[in-house]
Amino acid sequence: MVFRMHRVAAAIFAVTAAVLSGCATTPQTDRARASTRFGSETSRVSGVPFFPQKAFQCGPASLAEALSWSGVQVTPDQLSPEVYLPKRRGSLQAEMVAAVRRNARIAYVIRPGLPSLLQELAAGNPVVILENLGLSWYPVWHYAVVVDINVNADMITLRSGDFARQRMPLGLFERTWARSGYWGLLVLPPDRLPATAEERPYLKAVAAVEALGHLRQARIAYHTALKRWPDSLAGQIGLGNTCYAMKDLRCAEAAYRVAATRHPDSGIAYNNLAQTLADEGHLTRATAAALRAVALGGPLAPTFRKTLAGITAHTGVVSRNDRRPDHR
Amino acid sequence: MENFRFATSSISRFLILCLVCMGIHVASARAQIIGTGTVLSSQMAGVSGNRARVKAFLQRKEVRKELLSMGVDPTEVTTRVNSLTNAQVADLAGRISKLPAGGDFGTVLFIGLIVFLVLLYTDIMGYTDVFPFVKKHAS
Repeated sequence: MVFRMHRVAAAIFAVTAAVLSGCATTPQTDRARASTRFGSETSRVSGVPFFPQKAFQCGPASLAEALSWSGVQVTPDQLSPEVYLPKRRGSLQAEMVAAVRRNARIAYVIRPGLPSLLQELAAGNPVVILENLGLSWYPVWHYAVVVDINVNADMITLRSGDFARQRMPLGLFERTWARSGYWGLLVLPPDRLPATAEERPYLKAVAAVEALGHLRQARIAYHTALKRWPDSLAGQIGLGNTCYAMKDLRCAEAAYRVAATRHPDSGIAYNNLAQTLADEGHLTRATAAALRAVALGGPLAPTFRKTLAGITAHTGVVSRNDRRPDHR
Repeated sequence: MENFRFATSSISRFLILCLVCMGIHVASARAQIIGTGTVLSSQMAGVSGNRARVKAFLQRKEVRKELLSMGVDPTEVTTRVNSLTNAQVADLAGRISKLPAGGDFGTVLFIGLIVFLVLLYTDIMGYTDVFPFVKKHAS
């Protein structure tokens, strides 16, 4: 009997050891230690304030730190109603992202992994991360802000909970971070591109800010994106749409024209150009652009035809006016 | 039966009205300018666009309901839902109670878990008798 109980104890020990060691590998940290191709070995971000976290409020606290760094002066208490879920005693990733946009900043989720994190830190951008301080089957989700990484000293520093400078071995951090799928969020002013920016994800992030009506910031961000990707169709259309929404028709026309010139097969570019020209009163040129969009067709063809119909409704009047001299 | 029919017909009338209003809203708000989101989305508008719009509309309602049930202030909930993109709404709908919510709430529970494990272990070893589901061996 005693023998059997010992076997149970041994089994418990074995299971515990297996569970704990199951996530013990840290390949990315090992790679970072082995090479310096991720940039400089020490990266430090300055200008990130510290807000000690109230109970369960690590989401609002981390956001306030990152937003303040980006130039938006807010406190965790102000952000709490934007992200905190009382019954979950925490904040969802999606709402963290949404709150950044509400505060007119670009929310960019980095490509999962230590290389992106190191690159962003090296570029001077703090990163809000989600880590699981517990185990995969007993999660303790926690937001913190990475402000310092020293690969040589094997140390990462975070604004976390009650600690202004929580230092953690890189390997331990990787383990806790891996359980969130390496989720990292940048909170950037519109004139600052992520070091690891990719065209589509970045423009999607800007379009979401545009959709919330932060037009001035969206316009700056589209300019920022176009500096990096001058041929981006979505970038030009986004800039045009933002200008159009701001009733700056000349700016909109210019952007759509660049889009149409560089992407002559884009019906959207011609459609939006046509609408803008019509609004400016250039009906002949508007008709030409709208005809071009209709000719290009595609899944948006019904909208293109509507645009054309809207313009010809005006030109009908104009052409009758034009005909009058002929009858003289 | 009459009541039921009346209820369903008024609900469907309301829904039709909603959808029509959405259509008008989209059409009038921005002349015929095609939005940046459309350029970036892989599935372009058209027939499927209408269906996607209806789906997004319903999912948004669901997320709103879930957020309210999670204790979000009713005066805040509209702005919170509106701040989400359609893709985010699709991600959240029906999953808000399961997705990670960063809050570092574990400490208290974690201590509870450890106490439970210790007592379970001592129960199994025969030192304590806290849990009736642990089979006791006559010794």
